[in-house]
Amino acid sequence: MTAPRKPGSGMWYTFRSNRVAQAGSAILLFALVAIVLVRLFSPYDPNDKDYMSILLGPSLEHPFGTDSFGQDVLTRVAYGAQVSLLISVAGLVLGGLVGTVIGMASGFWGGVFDTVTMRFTELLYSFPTYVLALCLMLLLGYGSRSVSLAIALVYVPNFARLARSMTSATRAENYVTAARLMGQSPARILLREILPNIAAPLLVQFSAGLGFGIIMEAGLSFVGLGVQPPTPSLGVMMADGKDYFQKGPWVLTLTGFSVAWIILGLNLLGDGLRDALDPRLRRRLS
Amino acid sequence: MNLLLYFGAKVLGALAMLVVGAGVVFLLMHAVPGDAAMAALGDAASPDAVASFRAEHHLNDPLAQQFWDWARAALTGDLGKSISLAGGFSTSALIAGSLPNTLFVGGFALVIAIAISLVAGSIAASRHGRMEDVLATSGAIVTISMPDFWLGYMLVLVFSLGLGWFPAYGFVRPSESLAGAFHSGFLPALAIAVPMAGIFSRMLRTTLLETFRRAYVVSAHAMGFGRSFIFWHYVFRNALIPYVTAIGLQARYLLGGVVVIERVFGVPGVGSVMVDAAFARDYGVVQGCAVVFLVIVIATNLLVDALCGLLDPRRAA
Amino acid sequence: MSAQAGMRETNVMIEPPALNATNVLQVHGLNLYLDAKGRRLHVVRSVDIDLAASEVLGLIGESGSGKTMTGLSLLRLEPERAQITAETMRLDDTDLLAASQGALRGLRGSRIAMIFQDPVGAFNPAKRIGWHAREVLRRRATRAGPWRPVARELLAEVDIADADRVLGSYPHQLSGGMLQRVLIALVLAAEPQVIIADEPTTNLDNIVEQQILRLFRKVKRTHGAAFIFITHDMSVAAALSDRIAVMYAGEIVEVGPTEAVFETPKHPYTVGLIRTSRALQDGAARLPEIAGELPGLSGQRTGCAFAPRCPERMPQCTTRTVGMARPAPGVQARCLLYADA
Repeated sequence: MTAPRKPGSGMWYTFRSNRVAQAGSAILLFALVAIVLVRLFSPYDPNDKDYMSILLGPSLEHPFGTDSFGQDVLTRVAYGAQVSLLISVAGLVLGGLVGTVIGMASGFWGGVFDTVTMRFTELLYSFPTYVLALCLMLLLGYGSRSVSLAIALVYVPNFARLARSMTSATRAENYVTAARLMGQSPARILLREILPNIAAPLLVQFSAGLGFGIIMEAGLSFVGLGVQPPTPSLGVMMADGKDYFQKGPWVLTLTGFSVAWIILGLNLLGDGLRDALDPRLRRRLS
Repeated sequence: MNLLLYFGAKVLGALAMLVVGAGVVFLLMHAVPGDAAMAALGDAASPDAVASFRAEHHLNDPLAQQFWDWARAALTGDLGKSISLAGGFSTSALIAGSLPNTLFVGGFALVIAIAISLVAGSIAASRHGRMEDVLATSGAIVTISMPDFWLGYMLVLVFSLGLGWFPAYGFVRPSESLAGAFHSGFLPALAIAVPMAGIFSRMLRTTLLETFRRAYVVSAHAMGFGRSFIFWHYVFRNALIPYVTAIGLQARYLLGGVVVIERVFGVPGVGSVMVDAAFARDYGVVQGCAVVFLVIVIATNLLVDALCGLLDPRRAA
Repeated sequence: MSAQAGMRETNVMIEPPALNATNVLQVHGLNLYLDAKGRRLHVVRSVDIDLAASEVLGLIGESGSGKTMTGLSLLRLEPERAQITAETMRLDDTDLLAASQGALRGLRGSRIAMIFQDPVGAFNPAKRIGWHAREVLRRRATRAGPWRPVARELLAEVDIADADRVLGSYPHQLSGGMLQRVLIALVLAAEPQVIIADEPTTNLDNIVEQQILRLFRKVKRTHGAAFIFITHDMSVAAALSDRIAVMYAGEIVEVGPTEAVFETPKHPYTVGLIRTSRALQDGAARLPEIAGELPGLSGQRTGCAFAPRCPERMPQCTTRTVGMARPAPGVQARCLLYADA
């Protein structure tokens, strides 16, 4: 007995006919290409301090201007974007894994375990995101690893709830019942029969979460409780830019614009993928 | 009667959640590496000073005992003393002074977000697939993609530094001048509200479009009711229930945004107090602030539950 | 559009419909196309319906045969992504195809009304029954005065004794049978000329179904409305209808007086349907099934839609366009067995 659907079956077809997802990928692709090109061809090092060219406005030599150390903002954005993306990806992967395992288990077995985990997710839902993150930062110390963990903690309940509701819905389907009757172990059923069928919505949640992860990294670092300088994350750069916002508004403005650009791409992609999943929503945005 | 039972159960659940949540915060803050006494007195403190500090703050008691003492005191409104601020301000006084500012800015933001989303979401749904819909939908996704604190600075750039309409920094407490609070709180509230409004209007649009297809809407058309009558009494009225629920679920993001935005605009709110305390490693104050935020979110959820109970006759059944 | 051209050819074989002054509803050559997933489905195919005043027409067919879409089109409530065409589509003296949205809203509920399959889903879940009654009466009542006494009277007519309790209840607090009664009462309030009932008893259990059918029979006696009774259940149709129309894959394949259709069914599909229904009533252990499945609804069709499942299939069935034949007085069947040539 194999599951009748493959993960995201038909998604590629829908993707090709979904203009929202296409716009999202185009925006992301542009950002990625720009990051790669800047890193390859920029004449500046992200940490090169040039005290002769402090706080220069955008120009041909410095498209995004320079910061208070005379560092090229565009180059720093290209490096910072990678740091921020990696932090967000790490957080989402961790939160997604833990949340999915918890959610699938409680959706599959139900009972007391289910009640306890759902109360636990409710508890996590009761803390404002940054409050939860801040407590965690105090516990683990500032830095990119802690930021990733904070993002993961914020996203565990989201994944757990999603995985739980879909698992309990899938549990009743024929191929799962058949697998159970054939005496397959629960772990095998969860991995082989159920996971492929619930993977697509989880992926959509993942791509939507990436954007928020970046915002969260930026917010924590911005307040000074996240990634610490000199690591050039986007949040750190924005925190730096706010200190001389009146003298050189372009540092904060253009860094934030780059952040918004990447997140817009991720959000559009997530939206498009979600529409591809849900047949009722499929044609809505196109 | 049913409604009372339903709500009573919700209140009990919320109280349980609060106790467990406070316990978790307490444990987290006591698991923090490093010694609170050392943090307060500095690394150079003499062993005697540290010992007397520990005794004074009951740091040698078992954890359960400490939690019990702290919770009992918290119930009477005493959340302990700050160890970082000179003069040992009480945490309760710090929160009492800052909570109204946070609630003001957060509530102001919520009202703005709801107002924008009601208009944008309704227009988008009722003009589905047309120009207005495309504009509202694109606007929503663009605003959702903006980090709120960055949006705050952009607003400052335009409305304070550029036009000079609003102050760039600082906040007039509502107790001093209500008009001043609205004036100085507008930009921070707007910065939080705009991305929220994007989320809310998308939610409203989706639920409206789903409700448009319900059997009772077709049935209402078959009865010959007018378009706007059907929209308000059938579609909007029923879409309101998931919309209110969705707003409740956003409470934790909204308050999260408040923490950062308070720093941007120098609003002396609970978020600012909490961040300052975190820098000073003043765990007692962080703990108190976290519990206050927990209470706000839980209370918001209760309010949402109550509203839904009133809006949806099926809920209490 | 090639599909339409094919249809028109079919119509040529039917004699042009006589303009009958007593017909409250005249529909000729009704087609409905539905755009789904980039494909265009031809869901209702060249359907003719002539309904005399106070007549009950039973519209029978399997699910997916297009009968609900036909019903919705008659109120011009077809889905947004559907397109309809027709040669004639008149309610009394009103052209339903040309009528403005405003004019249609004026017709719906007052001159042509619809009762739906799911009575629970037909009511606004956030409002009490009394609210529905008040709103309907405010717009449609033929009787003047405060709404509550009128509502009580209407509910009494559909055998609801405790009207005040019902009016004070929310939809979710009442049973499906009770809600269907209420809906019938609300529909009758405006004394419409045509009432379309789409499987009104399908979601109800057996005893309640019998009660509702009895109610329909009573309403048929006491009110002058004409009914189109959409159902998949032959016995339900037989109990109420003056005439029967059988739909298959978007087409009407047989029309005739109820007795004639039941006693001497002409179209092989009708024959099969009636055999199955009789066996069901006799409690047969094995149901005689009609082998095969419904044909697809996309694209153009050559020959008879039922041919692949037909026990009487002839070679020409799959190649010729099949029009309506008149095998008996007042009976039409879309079958080459009865074609003159």
